Amino acid sequence: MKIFNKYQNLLIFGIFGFFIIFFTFEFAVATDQNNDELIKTAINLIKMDKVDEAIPILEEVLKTEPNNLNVIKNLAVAYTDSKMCDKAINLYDKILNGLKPNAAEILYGKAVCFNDLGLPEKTLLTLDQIDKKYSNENSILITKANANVLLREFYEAEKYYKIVLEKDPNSKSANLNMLLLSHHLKDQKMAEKYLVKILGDEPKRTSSACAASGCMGIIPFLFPVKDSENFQITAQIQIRDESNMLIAIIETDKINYTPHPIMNKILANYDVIETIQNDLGVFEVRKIVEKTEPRINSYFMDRVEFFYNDYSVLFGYNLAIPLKSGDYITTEWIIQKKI
Amino acid sequence: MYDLSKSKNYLTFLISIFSLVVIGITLVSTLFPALIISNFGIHSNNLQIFEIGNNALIVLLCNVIIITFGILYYKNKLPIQLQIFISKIIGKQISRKLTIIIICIILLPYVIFTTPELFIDEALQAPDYEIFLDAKEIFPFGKTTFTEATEQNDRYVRMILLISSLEIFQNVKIIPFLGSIALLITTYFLTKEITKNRLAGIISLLVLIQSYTFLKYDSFAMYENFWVLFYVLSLYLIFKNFYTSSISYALSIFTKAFTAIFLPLSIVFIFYSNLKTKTKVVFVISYGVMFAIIITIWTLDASVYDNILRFDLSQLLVGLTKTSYQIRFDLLFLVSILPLTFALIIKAKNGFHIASSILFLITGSIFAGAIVEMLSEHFVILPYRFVPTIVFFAVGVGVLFNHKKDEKL
Repeated sequence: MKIFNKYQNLLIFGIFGFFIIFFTFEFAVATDQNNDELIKTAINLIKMDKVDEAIPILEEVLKTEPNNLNVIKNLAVAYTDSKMCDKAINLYDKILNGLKPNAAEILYGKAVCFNDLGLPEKTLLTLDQIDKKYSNENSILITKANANVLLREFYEAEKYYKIVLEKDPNSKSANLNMLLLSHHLKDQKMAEKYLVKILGDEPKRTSSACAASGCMGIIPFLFPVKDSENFQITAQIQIRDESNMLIAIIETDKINYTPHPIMNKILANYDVIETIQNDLGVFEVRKIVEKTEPRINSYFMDRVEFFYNDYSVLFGYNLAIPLKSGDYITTEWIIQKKI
Repeated sequence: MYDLSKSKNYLTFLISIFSLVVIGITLVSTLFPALIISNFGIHSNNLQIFEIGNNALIVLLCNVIIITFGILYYKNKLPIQLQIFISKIIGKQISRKLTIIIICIILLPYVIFTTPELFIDEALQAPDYEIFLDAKEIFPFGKTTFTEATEQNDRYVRMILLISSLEIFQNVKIIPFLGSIALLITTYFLTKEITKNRLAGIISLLVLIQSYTFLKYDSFAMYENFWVLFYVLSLYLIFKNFYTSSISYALSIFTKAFTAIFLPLSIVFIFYSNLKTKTKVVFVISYGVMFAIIITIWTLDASVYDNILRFDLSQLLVGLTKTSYQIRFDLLFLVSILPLTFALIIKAKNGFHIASSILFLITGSIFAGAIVEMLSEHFVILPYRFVPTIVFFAVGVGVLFNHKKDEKL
């Protein structure tokens, strides 16, 4: 009893000390376990393309583990995917400046971001820092090619895409980029080749976002007719109200078409109305007339389209007329095809 | 002094002819939509050139009524009580306090009824929003092969204002809507300054606020009115603080390069103003310096504008016909633009010279669109580009309310 009294303070101190150490350890373990679970959740979300949901989770984990390489890396990738490249580059730099200097995948991520920010010179400088043994990787070659596209060094870009296609002829990214390149090079034979490769012989709408205007120039499935040697197309649009009264006649030669061979198949369904000869050669003239009720949008009608298999094959733009419910349009396409 | 007055009269004559031609083509295209396009179009056709347009009857009828009424008023042939009543109305002055109350009564419902539009997702409304987002990613100095995004980024002031709206309010529409409200107020002040009549300012405010085109695009971020606001403000500042006028004009051009074509309109406006000749010369010099700076910036920034020029004279006429259908729902404009043109010509002839410059602003802003069609394959006339025309039309209507005892109309 005396002994107990003598060592009572020590005992109490010991018991408290034990509990403090125990709970601190348990808390640390629990935090670690909790963070591990959060990281796993975030990575799964990224895999499921739910990057926007993953970002706040990773940001939260980063507060408690500011030097966790796995978290920083995944967050940087998530930022890159969400077009938040300013934030991503800060994280890439944090890794490169201490945690993992000269890491190839980090330099690659940073280079991709520079392309997204429209800074191709920095992309190429960053890619130059990557170890030579990785320099022939497809992803790096494509990023390098994309930077050259931004610099309008189109033939240099083509060189890199072709290296990728030699190694992997079905590379989706390289094929799409070659299609994009054909747009810049105004090379419609090249466009035809890659359109067939990407879309097959019977193209169909691949996604609603890309149907109308060929992804607004990002992935050009449609090409300007004015760059074509084989086609001359104009469109005339009559707009009438529900009482059949004429509202306007609009014409456009700002027309995109598909250089895909499907165009010939479509035209075979229409009679040749005349054959003409001019300085550019001999042309068969066909007329396609279509009456439609345009979709009333919030701004104004600015386009007409002609679909085949739900795939936009003709796209006339820069029209601009405000419409109201009941208005309808009759579009007359006159297509001259070189023979 | 005599020479200046003579040259003002000569210029008024030229502006009158020019305006009647521009308005004439617009109205002919309203009456017969196929007439001009069938002769000057690019598409072979067998159109019925004299087929009547859907707005033709109402435009014709209203023009006959308004012009007949105007002639009767001008010739003092209206019943005497009506004649006196009209004269009283157009010459009426109202107090500052009453003006503020009326403006609040006009603006409050406008703001309340428009506010719900601010919560409509811009991405669902305008495909151009995607282009804006792409441009925002690389703004201000990033490179892209996407011409539309490059063109957006060349509009520095617009980009800064839209990005600010997104960053500050998490809503890209808020600052554009504030810009539209500011445009209404500036229109009031410009008219009031020209006419020295608050009622005229209120009339112009009402004419603008009833416009379909203005109301359609007042809360759109992609079709914002900043460029119109800065341009109209530059005209107002000619009277108030001429040092800042060219700055406001420069802001307008950096919001939308289209207003660069408005330079002759501004110069004519300065020419007809009551400023001293020396001040007018300083003005023109300041505008010259401003344009030199803008061209230098575009050149240094490798702007898209110098790459998309062409020359196609036939597009000038076709471009002019577009007014008739692009503002087809602005019926007040269509039915009264010809009578207003006559009224402004008469007013200018009777000594109120600035009416000529207002007329030139109206018809010049229509013609500017056709010039763009002629010079560029990339840029075309779009309905929201008629907002300045509607603003000047509103000012023009307001100007009729500047009544002096010795002046008819």
